Amino acid sequence: MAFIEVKNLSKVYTNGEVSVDALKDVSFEIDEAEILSILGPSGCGKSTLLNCLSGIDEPTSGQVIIDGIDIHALSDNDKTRFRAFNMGFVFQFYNLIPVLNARENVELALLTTGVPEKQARRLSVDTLDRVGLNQRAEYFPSQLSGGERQRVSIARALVHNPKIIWADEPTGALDTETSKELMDLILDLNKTNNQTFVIVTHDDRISNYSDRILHVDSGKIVSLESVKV
Amino acid sequence: MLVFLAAIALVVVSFIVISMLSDRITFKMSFRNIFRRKANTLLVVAGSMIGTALIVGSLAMNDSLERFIYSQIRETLGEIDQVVVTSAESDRGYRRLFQLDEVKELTSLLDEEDLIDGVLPILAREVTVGKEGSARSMDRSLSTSAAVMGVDFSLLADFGSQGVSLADIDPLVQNDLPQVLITRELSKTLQIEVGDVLEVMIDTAERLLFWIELPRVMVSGIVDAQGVLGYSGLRQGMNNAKIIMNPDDARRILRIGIENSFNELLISNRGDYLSGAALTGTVIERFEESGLEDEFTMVPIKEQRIRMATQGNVGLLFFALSAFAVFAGILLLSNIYLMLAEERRTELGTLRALGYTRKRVARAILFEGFFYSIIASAAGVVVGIIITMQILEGFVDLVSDVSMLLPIENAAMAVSTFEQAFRFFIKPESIFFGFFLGLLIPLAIIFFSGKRISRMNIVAAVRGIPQVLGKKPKRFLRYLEYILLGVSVLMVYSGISDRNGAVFLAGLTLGLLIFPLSFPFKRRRIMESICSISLIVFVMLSNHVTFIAEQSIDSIPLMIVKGFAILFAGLLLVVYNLKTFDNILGTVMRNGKNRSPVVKVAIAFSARNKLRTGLTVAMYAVVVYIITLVSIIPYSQEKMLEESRNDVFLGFDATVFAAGLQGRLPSEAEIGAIRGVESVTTLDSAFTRILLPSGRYSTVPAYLLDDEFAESTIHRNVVLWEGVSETQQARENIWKYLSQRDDVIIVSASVLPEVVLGDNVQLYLPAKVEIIGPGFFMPASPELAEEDISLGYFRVIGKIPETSFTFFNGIFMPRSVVDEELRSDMIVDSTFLLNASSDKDLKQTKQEIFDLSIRTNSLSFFVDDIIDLVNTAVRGIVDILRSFLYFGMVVGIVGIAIVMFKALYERKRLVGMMKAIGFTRGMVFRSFLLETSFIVVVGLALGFVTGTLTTYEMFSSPFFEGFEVFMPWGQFLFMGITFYLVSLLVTLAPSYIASRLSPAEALRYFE
Ligand SMILES: Nc1ncnc2c1ncn2[C@@H]1O[C@H](COP(=O)(O)OP(=O)(O)O)[C@@H](O)[C@H]1O
Ligand SMILES: [Mg+2]
Repeated sequence: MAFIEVKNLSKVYTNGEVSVDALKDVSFEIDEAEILSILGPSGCGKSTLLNCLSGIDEPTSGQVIIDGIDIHALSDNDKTRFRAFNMGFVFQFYNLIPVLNARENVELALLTTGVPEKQARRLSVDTLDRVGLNQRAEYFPSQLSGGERQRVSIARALVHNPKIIWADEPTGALDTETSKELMDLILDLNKTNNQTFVIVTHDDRISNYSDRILHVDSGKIVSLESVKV
Repeated sequence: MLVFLAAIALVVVSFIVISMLSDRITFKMSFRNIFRRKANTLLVVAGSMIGTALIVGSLAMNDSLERFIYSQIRETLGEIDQVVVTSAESDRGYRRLFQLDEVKELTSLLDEEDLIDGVLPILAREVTVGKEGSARSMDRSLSTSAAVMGVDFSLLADFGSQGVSLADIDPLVQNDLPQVLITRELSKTLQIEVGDVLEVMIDTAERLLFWIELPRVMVSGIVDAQGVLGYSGLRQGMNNAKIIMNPDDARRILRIGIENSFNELLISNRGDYLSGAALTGTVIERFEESGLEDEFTMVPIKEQRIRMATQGNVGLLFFALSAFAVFAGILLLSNIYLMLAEERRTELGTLRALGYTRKRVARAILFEGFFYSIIASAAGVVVGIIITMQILEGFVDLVSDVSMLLPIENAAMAVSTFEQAFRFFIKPESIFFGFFLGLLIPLAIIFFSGKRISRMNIVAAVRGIPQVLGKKPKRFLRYLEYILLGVSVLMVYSGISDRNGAVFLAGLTLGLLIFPLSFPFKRRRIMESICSISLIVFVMLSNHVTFIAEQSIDSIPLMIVKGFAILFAGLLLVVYNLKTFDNILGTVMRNGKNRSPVVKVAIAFSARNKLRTGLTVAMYAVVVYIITLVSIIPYSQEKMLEESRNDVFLGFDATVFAAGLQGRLPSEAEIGAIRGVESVTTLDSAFTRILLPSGRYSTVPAYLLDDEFAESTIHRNVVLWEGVSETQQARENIWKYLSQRDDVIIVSASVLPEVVLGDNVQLYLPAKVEIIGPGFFMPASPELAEEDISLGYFRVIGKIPETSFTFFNGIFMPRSVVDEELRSDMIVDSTFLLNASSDKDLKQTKQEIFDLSIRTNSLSFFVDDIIDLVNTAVRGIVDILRSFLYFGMVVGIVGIAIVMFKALYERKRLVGMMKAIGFTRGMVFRSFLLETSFIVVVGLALGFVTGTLTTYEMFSSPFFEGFEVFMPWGQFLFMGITFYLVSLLVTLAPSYIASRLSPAEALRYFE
């Protein structure tokens, strides 16, 4: 049995009279410790797919089974706890909490899992160190550049050592150089920690870092190919 | 209620504090949010502070008024709740004295049931008093009328819940004269000091009997005429000159030979001076069971006074004002905290994704709201108190007792105005209540919007997509809707079956406004509009429903429900049809060059955020609504008072009448001799008993008019019976017509509402009529007595309308109808009416009439002075209300400032985009200002229209029968323009900042 099983996932958005089929009966599997890129044109349903996989959005039908657990069958509180312990998120616009400094933003992910404050603090500083931000730990998001902010959000996604990290266009708001550095960082972390990365992007260069590429178009899977190294 | 609120507040606060301590990181986030945007925080705190201040201020206003009214009751009655007197009257209208044994059964019965906490037998009688040798003087500075009150000082100390302590009185000077206490008023009037000897004259006739030695007393102390000491007996006038002594001395001085006799028994019910009145009903029941009913009469004096005071228009205005001002404050608080919750949405969504449970997310926003609201409500209490204090300080000297002045019930009361300070006062309960509301409302709003956000789709929250409600809350709302509909049906049903207008109408309002929610969104707008309009129409016509019309006379809740119904219906109508307004505005504005995109943007924003626009419009509407009410009602009354100038003294300029029992009247000739007096007529009054259609007998004063009256009166406010309205003479001068007949009468609708024009009624002169006190009279027996003298049958040819503002209410008939012999027996009172030429000597004439009345110990009034007095009194109160309302306007203004500042933050990027695609600075600026204008104008118009509708509705109730609505257009115009301009002014800052934003900067802006 695969690590993540996606079975017949569909998502329909209804806004009044109009309804959009954002996902149409999608099924595939993700292995443990792989880097999977989701590629496709804008509006094809990549984010929708990722959100349904991670459980922050509800599919209209279908199942997502992670490590044997059907996450959409869980109660909201259980699902939330599952996310807190097993997943990390990297958003396109970072979504850092503006009133917390870099270290505190990272700590947040630990504190939701009940890690004592002192330990959370130590782990956060370590993680920020790993993403190369040891000098910036006490800076607030507004004092950081885009690339630094995204590093903080990556640190936040990694600090509690989750099994899966979801990233929705993590480099979407960054320049090429910074993007490359970030992807190197992600690759490195994947190697050392054996974590599963699911990255949404429409940048071909980024997908080159991954083990497999999932091509999506109009809510359907076009292909799922392995990348030769 | 207070304990309940305090308990809730305590639980909520301790819950929040405990969870803060246990969730440090959330606490940290919430705490830092305070300092994130300082201007924003300042606005939130300022706004919610003003909301609280308005609530506290309204409560303080009400408390001050209540205390103002009650302090008068307290000063003149103290803890006296009922007065027991004998039913029978002796010569000159004095009551038969009684001895304590006669009422022992009653007092012990009341005592056993623990209904009372004091009985006090007193002997009270009006006398004339002066310093030794001057009581007989005609000079008012040397002799004055005062009340002798014989009372056992030791009983006084036990009377009521607090008792009256006379401990600080100097020990009595040894002397064989009776030792007395006098009131400060008496001491001032006659310059009396402790140790002075006074003379007491029991009968004014003794003035001439100079050889009779008048009894003397020595003053051993001066006391404040407050509480029981302020009470001078049922028969007493309003002056507070009193001589207090022990009953034995009083009997000796008043030449009463019967040992242990008293003329009044004062009873204090258990409880303080106010709460005791609640037991009056039970006490009267016991009295009726005690078998004393035939011999004695129990007067529920406290209850009567409270009712008279609280039912006045002013009390009502204040109450309505507070209710709506509190509502406006609540709206402001709701608006602010809804916006706050909205602003935090993205962050809260992120937290959810990171593993914050719903509960914890709701808590995070609750913490932040807690910081603001605890500071703001504490500050709001202080600010509310300070502002109300300031407003009231401006009106220290106010002609008081307006509540008694307005719907004039009897002349004696109306004359008794006295100046008194309307001072700031707030009950501790009100402070707490305001504080709790200021704290709990924001917390409740924050809590529910936090809940709502925590329940929303995480992706939607993170991306800032408008909320799409999940299935769960929808079902919950559905159930809530059904429950409320059920409640409203129940209320309507029970309202009809109990004939309770307020409950019925509240139910109907709730039902009609909720019912449309069950329709799908598209049709809801139409349904809501239909229901709102029907509700307004129904309320406007509700006085055609008998039981509602009946209650609109004295049911304050009903009036408030009606007001809210109209206001809410109007609000929903507008909010659901905002789009329509947009279209109209859009069409109107399309003409100008460059305008179109500006208008489009401005309107798109205000129409998109319905809830926020609706709340802001509502805030303006509520404030303007109250101002409209408070402006139209007194303005109309003032206008009508001016118009009814000729009604006050029945078409004469002035009146002269006897002042209390000690007064004497000048003769008609004396008055006529004064230069400038053109005509004088004597208005004799007797009590008559009239057989009503219901079979009951009613005793009312009959005014016997002479020919001079018919000649000189210019009073014409009489509704004619159609049987005489054909006659030319009757149409021209109904009084002349009346004077030439001996079988017709004119009646006042206010005292004889049951009598119908054209009725043929039988009149009697009752053999005995009791006067209980100024304004209170009743027949010796409710049934027709055998010895009553029939005057025959009379046709009612005219009615003086109930709304006529006049001192003389009763039956009017020619003097010749009662033959002379009877007349001298039955006439209880005579009054002179006179006309003065209105030339430049009027002042002189007035002065001479005044001098004459001083000399004769009578009273004189000119109609213009009365009107001035009433107008000043009304204006004084209204000015207080109005200045308070200007403070209320701040609510609307702060509201719009907050909305626009928030709009600025929210739309920074949009503004950047607009500028990037070619909006000039001016266009951005204008679009912001236009948005303000849209909200303000709609709010102003809505408040004005609903306020006007409510006034018309109020004036259509029987209570205001005959009242006309006069619109103070000038005031409204001024208010509207001021309000609008100030609103624009406060939005200038955010609009200006928006217009100056650099597009690049703005586009990059996100947190
Ligand atoms: N909340 C929503 N309501 C309606 N339609 C939506 C919503 N979110 C996304 N969509 C639609 O679903 C489709 C897929 O969107 P998305 O998953 O965001 O695309 P991608 O991430 O690939 O650019 C798009 O057509 C988009 O318009
Ligand atoms: Mg996307």
